[in-house]
Amino acid sequence: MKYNRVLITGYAAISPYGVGAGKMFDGLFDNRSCVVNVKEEMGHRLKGSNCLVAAPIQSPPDFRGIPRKHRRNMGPLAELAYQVSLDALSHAGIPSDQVGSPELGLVFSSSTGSAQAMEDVFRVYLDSTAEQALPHSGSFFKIMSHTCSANVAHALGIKGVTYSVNSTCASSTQAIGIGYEQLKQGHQDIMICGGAEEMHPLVLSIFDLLQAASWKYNDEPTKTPRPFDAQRDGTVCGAGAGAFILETEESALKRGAQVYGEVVGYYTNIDPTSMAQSTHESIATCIRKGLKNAGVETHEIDYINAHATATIAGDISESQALTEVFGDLDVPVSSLKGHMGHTLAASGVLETMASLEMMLSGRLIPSLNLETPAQETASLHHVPAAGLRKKISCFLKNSFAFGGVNAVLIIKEYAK
Amino acid sequence: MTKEKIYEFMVGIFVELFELTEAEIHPEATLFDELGLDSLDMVDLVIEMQSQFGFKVERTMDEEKLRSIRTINDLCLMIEEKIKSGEIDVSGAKS
Repeated sequence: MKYNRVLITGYAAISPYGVGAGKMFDGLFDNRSCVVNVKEEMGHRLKGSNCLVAAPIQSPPDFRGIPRKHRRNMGPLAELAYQVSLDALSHAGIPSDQVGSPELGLVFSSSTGSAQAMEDVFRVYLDSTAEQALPHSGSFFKIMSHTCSANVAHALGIKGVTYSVNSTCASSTQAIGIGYEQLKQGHQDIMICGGAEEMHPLVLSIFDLLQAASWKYNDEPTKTPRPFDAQRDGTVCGAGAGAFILETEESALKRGAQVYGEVVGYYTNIDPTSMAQSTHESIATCIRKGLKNAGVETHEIDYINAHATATIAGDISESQALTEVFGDLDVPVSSLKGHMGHTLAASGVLETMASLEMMLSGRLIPSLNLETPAQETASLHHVPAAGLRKKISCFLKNSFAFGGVNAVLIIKEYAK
Repeated sequence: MTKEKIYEFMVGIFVELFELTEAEIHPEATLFDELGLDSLDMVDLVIEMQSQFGFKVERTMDEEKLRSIRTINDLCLMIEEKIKSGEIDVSGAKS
């Protein structure tokens, strides 16, 4: 069977830096932190939480421009998903008549349905004695797990293959992987692949409860999270959304599209050892299988964009896995969580986008707040704090999630 | 509650719920064709009317009636009938 080559022909982002991929790239290359103390805005809703820091979206967009008929069914999550999907299609130059083609599909991801919508509904529903306690018909459409993919498809008129991925922090890496497989196997010509995460106290509280959230730097928020650092104390939750346009080579060449890179490999697996984290063995297996699928040898990887959320255990497992797979090879590694926090379901797509920009510009971004590598992570070749100029032809992106889900992508420079 | 008052009330609901301007709304405006509502909007309209006027749409009795409603005037007539029959207690209606 002949497989299609799968190219990246467009992207869009709403990150903690604000609206637009350019804003995100500028912030990352400037090593600016998006982490802030949220005690004033959210403290009263973070009951008992030690963690009082987060990376919310700076200057979030105004969604009132979305037609009411679509907006009525969207929570904040689906609004973000819609906006980045629309912007990514525009960036890729996909004509509007092609968006409704049965050959254009969608995979969108989120950790859950909209937490804000759940709160709004249950606050009324559980306390009400009225016979009709649900606020309106759109309530469920905001809560359902496929709220992003369904709403984006309806608002944009998409008619092709549609999936929803909901595996928390690995969600959008899986979304890109599933889109890649659809195109590789010839089921679609074009896929929108993305992920979204809205800011809600529930998420921060859960990470705090699981002792996975940073709390020692509440008064110095920009000093946390600290991926791979000896003084790391947990992650910081962020919000945002991103979307890629993936396209078969045939489709991209036919319409003369600008190509930003090529997805050459993907793999995902699950580790049933612990709900909270993956073991290094399962991560190493996932990376090895991803590389094998890509037909890429370890020495061909020029950069690794780590998941590294700055939790005590997670960074160690990932470091061990990378050392197992890459041995002594001098492959630079960095994590972007120190800059943008952990944007959970959006992290895979946003960090892959940033890695793509690193590949295109030949400049590597370091792990912000990494000052003294923890002993267990010291064997990695961390990108120096000042950054690194290096020709990148191929990179690996890691993402891991609650439930023990691992996912990796391998992306290359495109050459005909 | 007078006919005029019911209509005024209904206009308020349409402006609030469907983001229409008062200029777009008139008694003979057709809900689906002219005002662009759909079946989900009708669900929301029923929820809102139940809440505002304090009555319950009985699925067995009222659904057929609702399906025959085409204009804002039809809606007003339905409310008027319910007031007359005592199903809607005007003294309890929100103002």
